[in-house]
Amino acid sequence: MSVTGRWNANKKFLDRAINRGDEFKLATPFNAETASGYFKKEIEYLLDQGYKLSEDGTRIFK
Amino acid sequence: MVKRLLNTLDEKILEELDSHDFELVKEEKSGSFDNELLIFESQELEVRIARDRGDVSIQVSSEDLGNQWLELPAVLKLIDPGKLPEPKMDDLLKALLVHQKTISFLLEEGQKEETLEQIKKNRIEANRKFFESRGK
Repeated sequence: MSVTGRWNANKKFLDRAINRGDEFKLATPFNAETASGYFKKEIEYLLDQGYKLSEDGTRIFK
Repeated sequence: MVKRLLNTLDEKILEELDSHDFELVKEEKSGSFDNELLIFESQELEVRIARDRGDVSIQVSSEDLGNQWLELPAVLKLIDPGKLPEPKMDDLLKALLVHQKTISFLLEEGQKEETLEQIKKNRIEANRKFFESRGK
C-alpha cells in the first residue's frame, strides 16, 4: 500500500472512531519529543479534531 | 537472518547485535500494512524492533520489567539528558550496544521504579512544551 493509501485507510478508521466519540488508550504513551511518523501524525490529527491528550500521554479523549 | 524489516537497517549493526549475544527469539509479519516485529534477547536485555505502517521503532525491556516495553530514545535520554538521540535506527542500535550495561541497570529491580518515574516526568514535560508550541 502506498504512503497516501495507508494514511487514507488510517484516517478513515480514525474518522469513524471520532464520530463515535471513542477514547483511545495508547499502547505506547505519546512523547512529543520522541514520537515520529504515523503515530505522531495520528495524534496531531486527533488533537486537530478537538481531542485532548491526558497529562501522562497514555490516553486521548474528546 | 530476517531481511525484510532489516532492509531499513544496516546489516552490520544486526550482526553486531548477534556478536553482543542478542538472539532473535521472535519474528512476526502481518497484515496489509506490512507490519513486522522482531524480538532479540540477551542475558540482561530484550530488544523489540517493530515496523508499524512503515515506521520503525526500537523498544527495550528486561525480565524485571515484565511485559512493559520502553521506547529506546526515552531510556537513552536518561543516560544523556542533554542529548536527544538521533531518530535513525542504525544510530539508536549503536547507542543501545554502547550503553547496554547502563540500560540493563536502569531496568533492574530496585532501579526500574525511578527509571519509569523519570521517563514519565520527561514525557509530561515534552508534551507540555509541544502543546505550548501548538498554542502559539
